Amino acid sequence: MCDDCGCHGPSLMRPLPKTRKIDLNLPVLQINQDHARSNREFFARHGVRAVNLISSPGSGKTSLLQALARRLGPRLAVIVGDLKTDRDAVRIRDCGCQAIQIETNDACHLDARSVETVLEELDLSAVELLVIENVGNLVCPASYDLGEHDKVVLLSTPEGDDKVLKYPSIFSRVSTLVLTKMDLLPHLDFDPERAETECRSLNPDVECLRVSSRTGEGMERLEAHLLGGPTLLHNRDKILAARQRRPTVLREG
Amino acid sequence: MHEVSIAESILDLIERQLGRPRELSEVAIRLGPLSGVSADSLDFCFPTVAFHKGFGSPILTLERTLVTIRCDACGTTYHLPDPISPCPSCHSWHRTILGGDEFELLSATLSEENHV
Repeated sequence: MCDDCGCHGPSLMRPLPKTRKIDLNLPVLQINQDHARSNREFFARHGVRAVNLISSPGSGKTSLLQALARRLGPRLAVIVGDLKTDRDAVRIRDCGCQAIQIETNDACHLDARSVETVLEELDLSAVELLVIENVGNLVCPASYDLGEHDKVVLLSTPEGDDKVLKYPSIFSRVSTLVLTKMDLLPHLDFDPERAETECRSLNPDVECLRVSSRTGEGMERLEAHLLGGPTLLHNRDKILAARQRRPTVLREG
Repeated sequence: MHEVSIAESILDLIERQLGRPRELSEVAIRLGPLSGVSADSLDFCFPTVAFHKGFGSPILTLERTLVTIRCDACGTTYHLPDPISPCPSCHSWHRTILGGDEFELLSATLSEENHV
């Protein structure tokens, strides 16, 4: 008998399929985070500090790394991501340190797995600092932990001092903000205080530095910071820490 | 724009946790404004990616959160869709962001009879 109307014909309605809902409650990028953890363990085994360097295209990431390579030589190694060509790796290598190019073939960011696949190509015996120069992009790299200790975002003076709040997802996660091309400041209406204040409004713990790769201004401080700066607390950890912060109770005796 | 690879990540994670379901009927995601992911783009591309990866035609349910902010000047806790304005009580920019970067896979619903 038909279940729909009680007639003696076959039912024309298909019964709804039975479904089973499974609670997962996992970070969407859990697989990336697993690779990031593996990278972190690799960096720890080799005693290397890792930096994820992020900015818009043309903010001066590669020029900054060239200036850093001239100062640090073989103590620095670089992994650099671009859509195409090994031009950046060649530029950095010419300044005296190892550099490996990842061509992403039009992908807009590096993820932890793409970094993991090239780590073994590096000779890290003399390396103290590994900088991973991300693809020039202020949007997508924000989502991907590469296993770094320090997430460094560059903002160059020609880009404008009002950029921070336009890209809150990246600037709220950054551990270090570096204002670059400071030698151009006299020619521009760029207020460094504004950029730094707005970044602190998203992230009170951010370390702010100002440099010019061309004149060398601020490079000594940047070098010291990158080699030994505070280790990045990932935003999630920070949020959890802020929620769990309780007044300390001293026990007697 | 990396929402296609984000959609792939969602399906890869489901496959890793549950094996490959032949028919996935619904996927629920929690997404914050600071996640760096465009909810509209993800919503747009997810069905196509799911179909082409052989997961059937699941519905994507998005639970969107707000940015939760505590004002460090007056102590007010407030919620905004974007963290681009100061404290509504005292107009201070001194603040701590307590939430808004959520990006979680909450659940997956499978069609029972086809589940492997």
